[in-house]
Amino acid sequence: MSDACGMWVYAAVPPHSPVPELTGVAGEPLSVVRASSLGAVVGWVPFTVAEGDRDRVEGIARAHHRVVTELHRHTAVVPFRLGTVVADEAGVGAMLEAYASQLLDGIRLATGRTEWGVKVFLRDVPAQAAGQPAASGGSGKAYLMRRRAERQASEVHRHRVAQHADRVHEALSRYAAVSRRYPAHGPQIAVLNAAYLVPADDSSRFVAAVAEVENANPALRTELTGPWPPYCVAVRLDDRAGAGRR
Amino acid sequence: MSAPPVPLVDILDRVLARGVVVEGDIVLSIADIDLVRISLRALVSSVHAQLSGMPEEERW
Repeated sequence: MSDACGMWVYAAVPPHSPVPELTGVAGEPLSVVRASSLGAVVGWVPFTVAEGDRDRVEGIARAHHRVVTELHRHTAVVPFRLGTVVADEAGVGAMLEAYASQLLDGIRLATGRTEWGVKVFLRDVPAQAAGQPAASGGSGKAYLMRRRAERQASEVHRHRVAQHADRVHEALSRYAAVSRRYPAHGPQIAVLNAAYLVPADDSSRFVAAVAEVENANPALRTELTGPWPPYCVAVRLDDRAGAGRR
Repeated sequence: MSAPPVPLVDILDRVLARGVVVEGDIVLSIADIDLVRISLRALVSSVHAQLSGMPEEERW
């Protein structure tokens, strides 16, 4: 055989979760490896699955996400990071055994809960709204002073908005078993990029709470995404110093 | 009813930067997994370039 293969791990699930009738990142059928009261949803993939261009990686990412999302519809699921590949079925079983307690903790957290993504942006505020009335005309010096005042007002404004974001995060975290802030990215200034693991029963209350953020502070714009599988239930498993060590 | 497609940036944000991370000997980390990771890293670099604010440690 010229192609080396390995087991792509999609997620940990309770042991008797149904196997999704989907294909995986290499178009392969999926199966569940069971050990230590856990299941791992896996697919046997050639390493060449990872070769390709941007469209290819988008396909891989979407296929991985599709499997995790389908699992989330039917069972508690703890997603694995993209690109986790283990040598064979015995290796997957050994991994489940070595990290059973952490993975079972993850399953418990994931059970009956769903992830919501919240991004909070600072709306573009016209200069005069940032504190200074728009004076017109005047000398060059007056103009420069006005610009400086606008900049200072704008700094104060941003600082206040950051504080608002902290408060928003605190308020939304009250609904969540897990809440995490992530680096903001993108062309706009995001003051908050966070994920919240919320009981499925509380979803409508949580969505209403996010909507209330904009009502309470018109300077903020929120983006709600979800429901997502519980990607925020992230665990780092490291076996280099022996099983059981975090 | 069909939901709109989930934006790639939001998917990558999750599948590349969150989820369970396994390090060490259980995963194919010495030779074989590196092939996968190196390939994937090359693949995602163009996408990551668009995620301008993502810090280095989140980029694999």
